Amino acid sequence: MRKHSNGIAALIFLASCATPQVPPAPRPGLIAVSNGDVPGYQHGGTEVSKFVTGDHTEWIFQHGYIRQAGDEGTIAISAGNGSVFSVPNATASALRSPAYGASPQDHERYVRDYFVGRGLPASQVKNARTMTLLEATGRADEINNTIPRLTAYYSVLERDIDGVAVPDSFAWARVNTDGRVVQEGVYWPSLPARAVADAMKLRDLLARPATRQALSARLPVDAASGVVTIRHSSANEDEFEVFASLDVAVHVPAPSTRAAPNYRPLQSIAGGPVVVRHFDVNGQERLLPQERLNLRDKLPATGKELQ
Amino acid sequence: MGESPNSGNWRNVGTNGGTNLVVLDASFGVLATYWVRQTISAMAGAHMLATIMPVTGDTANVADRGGYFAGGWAQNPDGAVSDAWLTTMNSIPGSGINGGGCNFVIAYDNSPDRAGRHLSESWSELRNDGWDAQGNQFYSARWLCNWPSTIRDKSIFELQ
Repeated sequence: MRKHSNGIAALIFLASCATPQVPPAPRPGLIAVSNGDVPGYQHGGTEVSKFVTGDHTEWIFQHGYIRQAGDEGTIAISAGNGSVFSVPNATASALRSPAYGASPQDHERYVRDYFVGRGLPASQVKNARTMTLLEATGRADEINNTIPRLTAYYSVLERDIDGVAVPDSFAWARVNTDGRVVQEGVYWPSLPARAVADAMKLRDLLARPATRQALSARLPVDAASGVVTIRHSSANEDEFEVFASLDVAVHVPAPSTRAAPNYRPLQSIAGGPVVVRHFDVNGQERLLPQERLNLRDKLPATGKELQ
Repeated sequence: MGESPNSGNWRNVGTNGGTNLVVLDASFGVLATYWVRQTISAMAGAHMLATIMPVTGDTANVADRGGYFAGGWAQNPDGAVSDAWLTTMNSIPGSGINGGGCNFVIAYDNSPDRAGRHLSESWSELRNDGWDAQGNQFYSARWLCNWPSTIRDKSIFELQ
Protein backbone atom coordinates (compact mmCIF):
# COMPACT_ATOMS: atom_id res chain seq x y z
CA MET A 1 0.00 0.00 0.00
CA ARG A 2 2.82 2.33 0.92
CA LYS A 3 4.54 1.67 -2.43
CA HIS A 4 1.27 2.39 -4.27
CA SER A 5 0.72 5.75 -2.51
CA ASN A 6 4.32 6.73 -3.24
CA GLY A 7 3.63 6.06 -6.89
CA ILE A 8 0.51 8.27 -6.82
CA ALA A 9 2.49 11.01 -5.08
CA ALA A 10 5.15 10.80 -7.77
CA LEU A 11 2.51 11.08 -10.50
CA ILE A 12 0.95 14.12 -8.82
CA PHE A 13 4.41 15.70 -8.51
CA LEU A 14 5.17 15.09 -12.17
CA ALA A 15 1.80 16.48 -13.22
CA SER A 16 2.38 19.65 -11.20
CA CYS A 17 5.73 20.14 -12.95
CA ALA A 18 4.33 19.61 -16.43
CA THR A 19 4.76 22.48 -18.91
CA PRO A 20 3.73 22.63 -22.55
CA GLN A 21 6.14 20.46 -24.48
CA VAL A 22 9.08 22.45 -25.77
CA PRO A 23 9.97 21.43 -29.33
CA PRO A 24 13.66 20.98 -30.11
CA ALA A 25 15.41 24.13 -31.31
CA PRO A 26 17.00 24.00 -34.77
CA ARG A 27 20.67 23.01 -34.81
CA PRO A 28 22.83 26.15 -34.76
CA GLY A 29 25.51 26.81 -37.36
CA LEU A 30 25.72 26.87 -41.14
CA ILE A 31 22.50 25.77 -42.85
CA ALA A 32 23.95 23.40 -45.45
CA VAL A 33 22.22 23.09 -48.83
CA SER A 34 22.59 21.27 -52.13
CA ASN A 35 21.73 21.79 -55.81
CA GLY A 36 23.33 25.21 -55.97
CA ASP A 37 21.12 26.73 -53.28
CA VAL A 38 22.64 29.39 -51.05
CA PRO A 39 23.51 28.31 -47.50
CA GLY A 40 22.11 30.21 -44.56
CA TYR A 41 22.98 30.56 -40.90
CA GLN A 42 21.03 29.38 -37.88
CA HIS A 43 21.77 31.15 -34.59
CA GLY A 44 21.04 29.38 -31.33
CA GLY A 45 20.73 29.46 -27.57
CA THR A 46 23.38 29.77 -24.88
CA GLU A 47 25.45 26.99 -26.46
CA VAL A 48 26.52 29.46 -29.17
CA SER A 49 25.28 32.90 -28.11
CA LYS A 50 27.25 35.32 -25.95
CA PHE A 51 23.96 36.69 -24.68
CA VAL A 52 23.61 36.15 -20.94
CA THR A 53 20.24 34.80 -19.82
CA GLY A 54 21.27 34.80 -16.14
CA ASP A 55 20.29 32.51 -13.28
CA HIS A 56 17.21 30.28 -13.18
CA THR A 57 17.28 29.78 -16.95
CA GLU A 58 14.56 27.47 -18.22
CA TRP A 59 13.12 26.41 -21.58
CA ILE A 60 9.61 27.61 -22.37
CA PHE A 61 7.51 27.28 -25.52
CA GLN A 62 5.18 30.27 -25.86
CA HIS A 63 3.72 32.46 -28.59
CA GLY A 64 5.51 30.48 -31.28
CA TYR A 65 8.96 30.93 -29.72
CA ILE A 66 11.22 28.36 -28.12
CA ARG A 67 12.48 30.54 -25.28
CA GLN A 68 15.49 30.12 -23.05
CA ALA A 69 14.48 32.54 -20.29
CA GLY A 70 16.44 33.57 -17.21
CA ASP A 71 16.74 36.34 -14.65
CA GLU A 72 18.66 38.61 -17.05
CA GLY A 73 16.92 37.97 -20.36
CA THR A 74 15.57 35.58 -22.94
CA ILE A 75 16.83 33.98 -26.14
CA ALA A 76 13.75 33.43 -28.30
CA ILE A 77 13.98 31.09 -31.30
CA SER A 78 11.04 31.13 -33.70
CA ALA A 79 9.62 27.65 -34.11
CA GLY A 80 8.19 28.76 -37.43
CA ASN A 81 11.20 30.15 -39.25
CA GLY A 82 14.28 29.84 -37.00
CA SER A 83 14.82 33.57 -36.48
CA VAL A 84 16.44 34.35 -33.14
CA PHE A 85 16.01 37.39 -30.91
CA SER A 86 17.87 37.72 -27.62
CA VAL A 87 16.13 40.32 -25.49
CA PRO A 88 17.41 41.57 -22.12
CA ASN A 89 14.98 42.05 -19.27
CA ALA A 90 14.12 45.71 -18.75
CA THR A 91 16.32 45.84 -15.64
CA ALA A 92 19.16 43.61 -16.87
CA SER A 93 22.60 44.59 -15.54
CA ALA A 94 24.10 44.31 -19.06
CA LEU A 95 22.08 47.36 -20.15
CA ARG A 96 24.09 49.56 -17.78
CA SER A 97 27.56 48.76 -19.08
CA PRO A 98 29.21 50.86 -21.81
CA ALA A 99 29.61 49.93 -25.47
CA TYR A 100 32.36 47.64 -26.71
CA GLY A 101 35.49 49.19 -28.22
CA ALA A 102 36.81 52.66 -28.76
CA SER A 103 34.87 53.36 -31.95
CA PRO A 104 31.86 52.20 -33.98
CA GLN A 105 34.32 50.40 -36.27
CA ASP A 106 35.61 48.33 -33.33
CA HIS A 107 32.04 47.36 -32.55
CA GLU A 108 31.32 46.43 -36.18
CA ARG A 109 34.40 44.23 -36.39
CA TYR A 110 33.50 42.45 -33.16
CA VAL A 111 29.94 41.75 -34.33
CA ARG A 112 31.10 40.51 -37.74
CA ASP A 113 33.70 38.19 -36.16
CA TYR A 114 31.15 36.99 -33.60
CA PHE A 115 28.63 35.80 -36.19
CA VAL A 116 31.15 34.59 -38.78
CA GLY A 117 32.93 32.63 -36.05
CA ARG A 118 29.69 30.75 -35.40
CA GLY A 119 29.05 29.77 -38.99
CA LEU A 120 27.54 32.74 -40.78
CA PRO A 121 29.12 32.68 -44.27
CA ALA A 122 31.65 35.52 -44.46
CA SER A 123 31.28 35.72 -48.25
CA GLN A 124 27.65 36.81 -47.81
CA VAL A 125 28.43 39.80 -45.59
CA LYS A 126 28.42 42.88 -47.77
CA ASN A 127 29.18 45.29 -44.99
CA ALA A 128 27.99 46.40 -41.58
CA ARG A 129 26.08 49.50 -40.63
CA THR A 130 26.15 50.72 -37.08
CA MET A 131 23.39 52.51 -35.19
CA THR A 132 23.98 54.82 -32.23
CA LEU A 133 21.85 54.76 -29.07
CA LEU A 134 21.54 58.10 -27.29
CA GLU A 135 19.79 59.07 -24.06
CA ALA A 136 18.91 62.33 -22.39
CA THR A 137 17.09 63.29 -19.20
CA GLY A 138 16.31 66.69 -17.80
CA ARG A 139 13.85 69.46 -17.10
CA ALA A 140 11.41 69.91 -19.96
CA ASP A 141 11.87 73.68 -19.82
CA GLU A 142 15.65 73.45 -20.13
CA ILE A 143 16.23 71.41 -23.26
CA ASN A 144 18.58 74.04 -24.59
CA ASN A 145 21.09 72.54 -22.17
CA THR A 146 20.49 68.98 -23.27
CA ILE A 147 23.55 66.96 -24.17
CA PRO A 148 22.62 63.44 -25.24
CA ARG A 149 24.62 60.61 -23.70
CA LEU A 150 26.01 58.00 -26.10
CA THR A 151 24.88 54.72 -24.55
CA ALA A 152 25.47 51.89 -27.01
CA TYR A 153 26.05 50.77 -30.57
CA TYR A 154 24.09 48.23 -32.58
CA SER A 155 25.92 46.77 -35.61
CA VAL A 156 23.86 45.17 -38.39
CA LEU A 157 25.43 42.82 -40.96
CA GLU A 158 23.97 43.29 -44.45
CA ARG A 159 23.62 40.27 -46.76
CA ASP A 160 24.73 40.13 -50.36
CA ILE A 161 24.80 37.23 -52.83
CA ASP A 162 27.07 37.80 -55.86
CA GLY A 163 26.56 41.54 -55.64
CA VAL A 164 22.79 41.37 -55.08
CA ALA A 165 21.49 42.67 -51.75
CA VAL A 166 19.18 40.53 -49.60
CA PRO A 167 17.69 43.27 -47.40
CA ASP A 168 15.28 41.08 -45.42
CA SER A 169 18.13 39.00 -43.93
CA PHE A 170 19.91 40.40 -40.89
CA ALA A 171 22.33 39.58 -38.11
CA TRP A 172 22.71 42.35 -35.55
CA ALA A 173 24.03 42.72 -32.06
CA ARG A 174 24.73 45.20 -29.29
CA VAL A 175 27.90 44.34 -27.42
CA ASN A 176 29.12 45.82 -24.15
CA THR A 177 32.59 46.64 -22.96
CA ASP A 178 33.45 43.14 -21.76
CA GLY A 179 32.38 41.50 -25.00
CA ARG A 180 29.02 40.21 -23.76
CA VAL A 181 26.11 40.46 -26.17
CA VAL A 182 23.43 42.69 -24.67
CA GLN A 183 20.87 42.18 -27.44
CA GLU A 184 20.84 40.44 -30.82
CA GLY A 185 18.65 39.42 -33.72
CA VAL A 186 19.39 36.95 -36.52
CA TYR A 187 17.43 35.83 -39.57
CA TRP A 188 19.66 34.47 -42.34
CA PRO A 189 17.71 31.74 -44.14
CA SER A 190 19.04 29.57 -46.95
CA LEU A 191 17.94 30.71 -50.40
CA PRO A 192 16.99 28.75 -53.52
CA ALA A 193 19.31 28.89 -56.53
CA ARG A 194 16.33 29.96 -58.65
CA ALA A 195 16.06 33.29 -56.82
CA VAL A 196 19.73 34.04 -57.45
CA ALA A 197 19.43 33.02 -61.12
CA ASP A 198 16.41 35.31 -61.54
CA ALA A 199 18.31 38.17 -59.92
CA MET A 200 21.17 37.69 -62.39
CA LYS A 201 18.67 37.61 -65.26
CA LEU A 202 17.10 40.86 -64.00
CA ARG A 203 20.51 42.44 -63.80
CA ASP A 204 21.27 41.38 -67.38
CA LEU A 205 17.94 42.71 -68.63
CA LEU A 206 18.66 46.08 -67.05
CA ALA A 207 22.22 46.21 -68.38
CA ARG A 208 21.14 46.20 -72.05
CA PRO A 209 19.22 49.25 -73.35
CA ALA A 210 16.76 47.29 -75.49
CA THR A 211 15.72 44.79 -72.82
CA ARG A 212 15.80 47.49 -70.17
CA GLN A 213 13.35 49.55 -72.20
CA ALA A 214 11.09 46.54 -72.75
CA LEU A 215 11.02 45.75 -69.03
CA SER A 216 10.46 49.41 -68.07
CA ALA A 217 7.53 49.62 -70.47
CA ARG A 218 5.76 46.87 -68.51
CA LEU A 219 6.15 48.64 -65.14
CA PRO A 220 3.71 51.19 -63.71
CA VAL A 221 6.59 53.16 -62.17
CA ASP A 222 9.79 54.74 -63.37
CA ALA A 223 12.40 51.99 -63.07
CA ALA A 224 15.38 54.34 -63.42
CA SER A 225 16.12 54.28 -59.70
CA GLY A 226 15.31 50.58 -59.30
CA VAL A 227 17.68 48.22 -57.51
CA VAL A 228 17.95 44.48 -58.15
CA THR A 229 17.52 42.56 -54.90
CA ILE A 230 16.50 39.18 -53.54
CA ARG A 231 13.50 39.68 -51.25
CA HIS A 232 12.12 37.17 -48.78
CA SER A 233 9.55 36.93 -46.00
CA SER A 234 10.31 38.91 -42.87
CA ALA A 235 11.29 37.23 -39.60
CA ASN A 236 7.72 37.78 -38.42
CA GLU A 237 6.34 35.37 -41.00
CA ASP A 238 6.22 31.59 -40.80
CA GLU A 239 5.39 31.25 -44.49
CA PHE A 240 8.62 31.53 -46.48
CA GLU A 241 8.58 33.17 -49.90
CA VAL A 242 11.54 34.43 -51.87
CA PHE A 243 11.92 36.05 -55.28
CA ALA A 244 14.28 38.22 -57.27
CA SER A 245 12.98 41.78 -57.36
CA LEU A 246 13.52 45.08 -59.01
CA ASP A 247 12.86 47.28 -55.96
CA VAL A 248 11.61 50.75 -56.81
CA ALA A 249 11.12 53.38 -54.09
CA VAL A 250 8.17 55.66 -54.75
CA HIS A 251 6.60 58.51 -52.85
CA VAL A 252 3.39 57.97 -50.91
CA PRO A 253 1.70 61.36 -50.78
CA ALA A 254 -1.12 61.96 -48.33
CA PRO A 255 -4.61 61.47 -49.88
CA SER A 256 -5.34 65.18 -49.49
CA THR A 257 -2.15 66.02 -51.37
CA ARG A 258 -2.97 63.56 -54.14
CA ALA A 259 -6.45 65.01 -54.52
CA ALA A 260 -5.20 68.57 -55.00
CA PRO A 261 -5.74 69.84 -58.59
CA ASN A 262 -2.13 70.98 -58.90
CA TYR A 263 -0.66 67.72 -57.56
CA ARG A 264 2.48 66.48 -59.30
CA PRO A 265 4.49 63.47 -58.07
CA LEU A 266 7.84 64.39 -56.54
CA GLN A 267 10.84 63.67 -58.73
CA SER A 268 13.11 62.72 -55.86
CA ILE A 269 12.52 60.31 -52.97
CA ALA A 270 14.31 62.66 -50.55
CA GLY A 271 11.63 64.17 -48.34
CA GLY A 272 8.20 62.64 -47.78
CA PRO A 273 7.30 59.05 -46.97
CA VAL A 274 8.24 56.34 -49.45
CA VAL A 275 7.20 52.78 -50.11
CA VAL A 276 9.28 50.17 -51.95
CA ARG A 277 7.45 48.29 -54.70
CA HIS A 278 8.71 44.97 -56.01
CA PHE A 279 8.70 43.73 -59.61
CA ASP A 280 9.84 40.27 -60.62
CA VAL A 281 11.81 39.18 -63.68
CA ASN A 282 8.59 39.19 -65.74
CA GLY A 283 7.70 42.71 -64.68
CA GLN A 284 4.89 41.45 -62.47
CA GLU A 285 4.37 43.34 -59.21
CA ARG A 286 4.89 41.13 -56.16
CA LEU A 287 4.03 41.49 -52.51
CA LEU A 288 5.88 39.85 -49.64
CA PRO A 289 3.82 37.93 -47.07
CA GLN A 290 4.24 40.75 -44.53
CA GLU A 291 2.76 43.12 -47.09
CA ARG A 292 -0.39 41.00 -47.49
CA LEU A 293 -2.03 41.70 -44.15
CA ASN A 294 -4.45 39.12 -42.89
CA LEU A 295 -5.40 40.00 -39.34
CA ARG A 296 -7.24 36.72 -38.82
CA ASP A 297 -3.92 34.89 -38.93
CA LYS A 298 -2.26 37.37 -36.61
CA LEU A 299 -4.68 37.56 -33.70
CA PRO A 300 -4.09 35.42 -30.62
CA ALA A 301 -6.39 32.42 -30.33
CA THR A 302 -8.02 33.99 -27.29
CA GLY A 303 -7.77 37.39 -25.67
CA LYS A 304 -6.63 35.59 -22.53
CA GLU A 305 -3.18 35.17 -24.01
CA LEU A 306 -2.63 38.84 -23.36
CA GLN A 307 -3.59 38.61 -19.67
CA MET B 1 -4.18 60.95 -24.51
CA GLY B 2 -3.27 59.51 -21.11
CA GLU B 3 -5.63 61.35 -18.75
CA SER B 4 -6.91 59.00 -16.06
CA PRO B 5 -7.95 58.99 -12.40
CA ASN B 6 -4.32 58.14 -11.59
CA SER B 7 -2.72 60.90 -13.64
CA GLY B 8 -5.26 63.64 -12.92
CA ASN B 9 -7.46 65.55 -15.33
CA TRP B 10 -4.75 67.71 -16.93
CA ARG B 11 -6.37 71.13 -16.77
CA ASN B 12 -9.88 69.71 -16.81
CA VAL B 13 -9.41 67.78 -20.02
CA GLY B 14 -10.96 64.73 -18.35
CA THR B 15 -9.93 61.39 -16.93
CA ASN B 16 -11.11 59.19 -19.75
CA GLY B 17 -7.98 59.02 -21.90
CA GLY B 18 -6.25 56.14 -20.22
CA THR B 19 -3.66 55.48 -22.91
CA ASN B 20 -0.33 54.32 -21.52
CA LEU B 21 1.66 54.00 -24.75
CA VAL B 22 1.28 56.11 -27.87
CA VAL B 23 2.94 55.00 -31.12
CA LEU B 24 3.09 57.38 -34.07
CA ASP B 25 4.32 55.38 -37.06
CA ALA B 26 4.11 58.37 -39.34
CA SER B 27 5.90 60.72 -41.63
CA PHE B 28 7.98 63.19 -39.58
CA GLY B 29 6.82 61.87 -36.19
CA VAL B 30 8.88 64.54 -34.46
CA LEU B 31 11.49 66.93 -35.78
CA ALA B 32 14.99 67.21 -34.43
CA THR B 33 14.49 70.78 -33.32
CA TYR B 34 11.06 70.35 -31.77
CA TRP B 35 10.93 66.95 -30.07
CA VAL B 36 9.86 68.41 -26.70
CA ARG B 37 7.66 71.18 -28.04
CA GLN B 38 5.78 68.72 -30.28
CA THR B 39 5.09 66.18 -27.55
CA ILE B 40 4.90 67.82 -24.12
CA SER B 41 1.33 69.07 -24.31
CA ALA B 42 -0.10 65.90 -25.78
CA MET B 43 1.18 63.35 -23.27
CA ALA B 44 -1.09 64.13 -20.29
CA GLY B 45 -0.48 61.04 -18.22
CA ALA B 46 0.66 58.62 -20.92
CA HIS B 47 3.71 56.59 -19.87
CA MET B 48 5.59 57.15 -23.11
CA LEU B 49 5.40 58.07 -26.76
CA ALA B 50 7.25 56.17 -29.50
CA THR B 51 7.75 57.58 -32.95
CA ILE B 52 10.34 58.39 -35.62
CA MET B 53 12.55 61.44 -35.85
CA PRO B 54 13.81 61.86 -39.41
CA VAL B 55 16.88 64.08 -39.70
CA THR B 56 17.30 63.84 -43.47
CA GLY B 57 14.68 62.13 -45.63
CA ASP B 58 11.57 60.71 -43.96
CA THR B 59 9.89 57.63 -42.55
CA ALA B 60 9.74 54.68 -44.94
CA ASN B 61 6.31 53.13 -45.29
CA VAL B 62 7.15 49.52 -44.34
CA ALA B 63 4.91 46.57 -43.57
CA ASP B 64 6.74 45.00 -40.68
CA ARG B 65 7.66 47.75 -38.20
CA GLY B 66 4.61 46.89 -36.08
CA GLY B 67 5.32 43.18 -36.32
CA TYR B 68 8.88 43.57 -35.12
CA PHE B 69 7.75 45.89 -32.30
CA ALA B 70 5.03 43.55 -31.04
CA GLY B 71 7.39 40.61 -31.50
CA GLY B 72 9.37 42.04 -28.60
CA TRP B 73 6.49 41.14 -26.28
CA ALA B 74 6.25 37.58 -27.59
CA GLN B 75 10.02 37.12 -27.35
CA ASN B 76 10.36 38.48 -23.81
CA PRO B 77 7.46 40.09 -21.93
CA ASP B 78 9.99 41.18 -19.28
CA GLY B 79 11.93 43.20 -21.88
CA ALA B 80 11.69 46.99 -22.14
CA VAL B 81 8.92 48.34 -24.37
CA SER B 82 11.11 51.29 -25.35
CA ASP B 83 13.93 49.00 -26.54
CA ALA B 84 11.48 46.96 -28.60
CA TRP B 85 10.47 50.09 -30.50
CA LEU B 86 14.00 51.43 -30.90
CA THR B 87 15.48 48.19 -32.19
CA THR B 88 12.88 47.63 -34.92
CA MET B 89 15.34 49.70 -36.92
CA ASN B 90 17.86 46.85 -36.92
CA SER B 91 15.57 44.29 -38.54
CA ILE B 92 13.76 46.44 -41.13
CA PRO B 93 15.37 46.68 -44.59
CA GLY B 94 17.19 49.99 -44.83
CA SER B 95 16.37 50.77 -41.17
CA GLY B 96 12.85 51.94 -42.04
CA ILE B 97 13.94 55.50 -42.69
CA ASN B 98 14.59 56.93 -46.11
CA GLY B 99 17.78 58.76 -45.23
CA GLY B 100 19.19 59.64 -41.83
CA GLY B 101 16.96 59.44 -38.79
CA CYS B 102 16.23 57.93 -35.43
CA ASN B 103 13.63 55.79 -33.75
CA PHE B 104 12.58 57.89 -30.76
CA VAL B 105 10.91 57.32 -27.39
CA ILE B 106 10.09 59.98 -24.81
CA ALA B 107 8.46 59.95 -21.38
CA TYR B 108 7.46 62.78 -19.06
CA ASP B 109 6.67 62.87 -15.35
CA ASN B 110 7.00 65.03 -12.26
CA SER B 111 10.51 63.83 -11.37
CA PRO B 112 13.57 62.67 -13.32
CA ASP B 113 13.36 59.25 -11.66
CA ARG B 114 9.75 58.70 -12.65
CA ALA B 115 10.38 59.88 -16.23
CA GLY B 116 13.40 57.57 -16.52
CA ARG B 117 11.52 54.65 -15.04
CA HIS B 118 8.93 54.78 -17.80
CA LEU B 119 11.61 54.06 -20.39
CA SER B 120 12.56 50.94 -18.45
CA GLU B 121 9.01 49.63 -18.23
CA SER B 122 8.49 46.06 -19.33
CA TRP B 123 5.42 44.99 -21.28
CA SER B 124 3.82 43.84 -18.04
CA GLU B 125 4.57 47.10 -16.21
CA LEU B 126 3.23 49.14 -19.10
CA ARG B 127 -0.25 48.00 -18.15
CA ASN B 128 0.04 49.36 -14.60
CA ASP B 129 -2.17 52.46 -14.49
CA GLY B 130 -0.74 53.20 -11.06
CA TRP B 131 2.34 54.44 -12.91
CA ASP B 132 0.49 56.98 -15.06
CA ALA B 133 2.52 60.19 -15.37
CA GLN B 134 1.78 62.77 -12.68
CA GLY B 135 3.23 65.74 -14.54
CA ASN B 136 5.41 66.82 -17.43
CA GLN B 137 8.11 68.86 -15.74
CA PHE B 138 10.84 66.30 -16.51
CA TYR B 139 11.52 64.19 -19.57
CA SER B 140 13.58 61.15 -20.37
CA ALA B 141 14.27 60.30 -24.03
CA ARG B 142 16.12 57.73 -26.11
CA TRP B 143 17.11 57.76 -29.76
CA LEU B 144 18.45 54.94 -31.88
CA CYS B 145 19.92 56.71 -34.90
CA ASN B 146 20.82 54.94 -38.13
CA TRP B 147 24.37 56.18 -38.37
CA PRO B 148 27.54 55.54 -36.37
CA SER B 149 28.69 58.43 -34.27
CA THR B 150 31.30 59.28 -31.70
CA ILE B 151 30.02 62.79 -31.12
CA ARG B 152 29.24 63.27 -27.46
CA ASP B 153 27.58 66.66 -27.57
CA LYS B 154 24.32 68.08 -28.84
CA SER B 155 25.68 68.57 -32.32
CA ILE B 156 24.94 64.90 -33.08
CA PHE B 157 21.65 66.23 -34.40
CA GLU B 158 19.89 69.53 -34.17
CA LEU B 159 18.58 69.53 -30.65
CA GLN B 160 18.11 73.27 -30.55
